[in-house]
Amino acid sequence: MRHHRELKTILYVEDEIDIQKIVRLALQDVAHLEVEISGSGREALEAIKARVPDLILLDAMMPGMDGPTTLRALREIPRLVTVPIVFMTAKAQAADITRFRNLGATDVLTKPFDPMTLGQRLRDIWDDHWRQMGS
Amino acid sequence: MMMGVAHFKALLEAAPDAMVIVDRDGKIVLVNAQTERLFGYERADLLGNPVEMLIPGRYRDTHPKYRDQFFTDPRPRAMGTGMELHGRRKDGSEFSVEISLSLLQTEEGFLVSSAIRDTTERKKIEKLKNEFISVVSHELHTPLTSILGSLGLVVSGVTGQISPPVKEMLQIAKSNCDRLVRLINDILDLEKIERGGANFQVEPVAVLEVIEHVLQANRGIADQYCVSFRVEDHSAAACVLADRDRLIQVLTNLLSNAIKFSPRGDHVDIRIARVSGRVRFSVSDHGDGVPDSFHDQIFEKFAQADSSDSRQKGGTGLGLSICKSIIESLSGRIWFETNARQGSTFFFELPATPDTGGQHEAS
Repeated sequence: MRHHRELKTILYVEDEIDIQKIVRLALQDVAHLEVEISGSGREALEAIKARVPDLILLDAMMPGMDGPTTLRALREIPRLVTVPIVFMTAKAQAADITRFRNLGATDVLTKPFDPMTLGQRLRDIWDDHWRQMGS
Repeated sequence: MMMGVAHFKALLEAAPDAMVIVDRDGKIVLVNAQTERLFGYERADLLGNPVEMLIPGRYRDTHPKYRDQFFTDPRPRAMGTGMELHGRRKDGSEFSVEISLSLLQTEEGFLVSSAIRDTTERKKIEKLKNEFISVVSHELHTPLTSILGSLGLVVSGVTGQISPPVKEMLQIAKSNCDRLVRLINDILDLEKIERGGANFQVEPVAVLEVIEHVLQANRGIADQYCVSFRVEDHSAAACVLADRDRLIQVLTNLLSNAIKFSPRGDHVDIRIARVSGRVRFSVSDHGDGVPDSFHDQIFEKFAQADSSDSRQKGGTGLGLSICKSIIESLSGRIWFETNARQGSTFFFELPATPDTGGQHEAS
């Protein structure tokens, strides 16, 4: 039985404009989630100051402040301690996934992804996350 | 072949590789100019000394054993196939080498001749090639993500209704993108296995359990092709030493090939048997067999028999190549038998874990 509320708001961090558009459609139109998009790690840190999302979806390879660096920076913010952060990466090797989890990622999704099921996968991660936290 | 030492010395000096001749006890009796250049010694420093001075310290203890072993079967051959060999220079630095050995019978008794080649440059080029393949494949994932994503959204009607002919064309685009993704993943996988970076978790794996898992996972595609399975187990609860996921990968590949090449309504035979310390797996279909002209290439990359059979499409052309790499990395071997009347059978063997049984061994 689920005691926590439903997943509602996502902060999506990705520098590629094309993938931004696809993910926005996939999450808003298909999965009916609210999506805010940051084009870089730096922008994401700014966005967090204004509003804490339910879940953060973070691309692994970005120029400048890359995925892992952004992840580390996000994990140091006290308000985000209970927020699940999901990594999106083209590299799906077991060793990479372990490394991302050790950096603080709640889960890892691989590219290419299916836009029709992306929202549901985030919902599943959200449910698992709160179940593990005991509510 | 008997030859005069003087004649031999002349040939040696001219050789482009470092030539090091040692006697039965491993003492260096002859070297050439290239040896001096490659290892940094004057030949006076080398003659009469143990050949082990030319190899890194960590291998020196075991090397005499390998030298003796050579004499038990002194065919001319490459030394240490599959092993990484290194030479050690006078200044202590090491470098990669490739060594060929042959036995010489001279007036002074048996000698071993080794031709040593510095492979540093070649290894560098191979490493660059593999890194290039890896980077390119990762770079390709990004545009593919956008293509697959946008096609997926349009085909599902999210962006609005589309007419059937448009939908059909987009589905073709989408399925070929899926195929491209599989291809890139296969290329990356194969490159990883071949350069030894695959991190296999080798442990005892229960054979029957893995077979059940693979059959279960492939029931859908089998139903789609109207093909059934028959399992013959003569292994008596055998376990093999293997990486479980990779074993599943090989079986899945062989099984899906067998399904695709089976006539509708037919069945695929899977057999497991023990053969002196190993477990032999076989997967058989009753299709048309592998054409003669294709026999030598079947485990090569991207070799797909030319055929109008549309079921062959959709494969990446790397499946059997990957299977071969995996099985050989696990110290096994893989082969096939085929004819046009009975179809094809693919075999592979892996080391069995020693167990308390063994009464059921066949050989």
